[in-house]
Amino acid sequence: MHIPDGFLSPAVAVVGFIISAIFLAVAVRKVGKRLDERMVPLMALLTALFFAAQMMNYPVVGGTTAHLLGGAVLGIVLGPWAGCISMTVILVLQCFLFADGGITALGANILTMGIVGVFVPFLIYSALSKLSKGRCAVVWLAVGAFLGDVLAAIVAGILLGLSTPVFQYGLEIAVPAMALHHSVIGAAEAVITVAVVLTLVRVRPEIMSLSPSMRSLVRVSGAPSKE
Amino acid sequence: MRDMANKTRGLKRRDLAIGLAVAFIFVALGVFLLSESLETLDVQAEEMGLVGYNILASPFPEYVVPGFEDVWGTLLLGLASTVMIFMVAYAVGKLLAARLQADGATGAS
Repeated sequence: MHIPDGFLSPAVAVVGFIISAIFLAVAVRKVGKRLDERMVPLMALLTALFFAAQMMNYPVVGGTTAHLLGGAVLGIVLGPWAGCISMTVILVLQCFLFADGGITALGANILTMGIVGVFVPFLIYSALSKLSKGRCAVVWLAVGAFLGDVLAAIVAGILLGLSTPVFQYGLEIAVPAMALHHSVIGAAEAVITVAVVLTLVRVRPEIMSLSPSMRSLVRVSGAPSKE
Repeated sequence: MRDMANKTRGLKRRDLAIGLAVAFIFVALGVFLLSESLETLDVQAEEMGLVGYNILASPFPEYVVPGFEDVWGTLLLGLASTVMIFMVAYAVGKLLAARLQADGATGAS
């Protein structure tokens, strides 16, 4: 899903940078006021884990491949603002060290993977967990992860579709293609998200109970938590 | 690394080692089994004759070490990069958490 240089129109690229810069400024401010020091090693570990996970390219539809994002785990476990910063660390290093995503498209890539891909799973999981009073939390994790991937791909498709004539396919082609192909990887993202979160809740409930969005799941799992 | 693990009450050095080992397995899978990348974007771009490029010269384009273009070079690069990303994210987290502590020490909200 990493957009290289040359695919986006200058206007779309600039809008991507502006939106990303605003979100990151707020993220630094909010995380600087809330991040518990005990969450820092977990933040670093999950960032490294999903950088590595993004190196795996899975076959999806029509001979194409896609990779996991990791935005759901980062957003739900660390909180969306810290998750946004974690994903930005990945994207910036991928861009500058490995030419994975262009420098002119960095804002757009942060917007799709670091903002939509992180906030959507968190918001969906939080809203549905609240509505269901903590029941079926695992299902909401999966739903959030799946929709986060698909919506991130749709936003990438919208940015590309709005970049005509640089990217000649309009919205009507770019958006469905991105959404269809990433719905397959979205299913894998859902499975991985549930596996990682449940493992963390089971193995380190005391750390997970530091995360506001995880407290209900820690309680439901019956694991002892201590702050 | 030892310092960072011991200072936390929950995530211990063993947890970090296991987590990084899982990340290393992901890297190895990505290098040896799931390395072929043909994303939707690439296919669409190819169909319209559009070639993506990178304005900045990257030291390791496409996860390849110049002069060591085999899978072992990519594997070593992936492992080293994973550790580096861990350390960068740790440093960023520490800096942000330090702001919270500084605000707390000065009584700021």
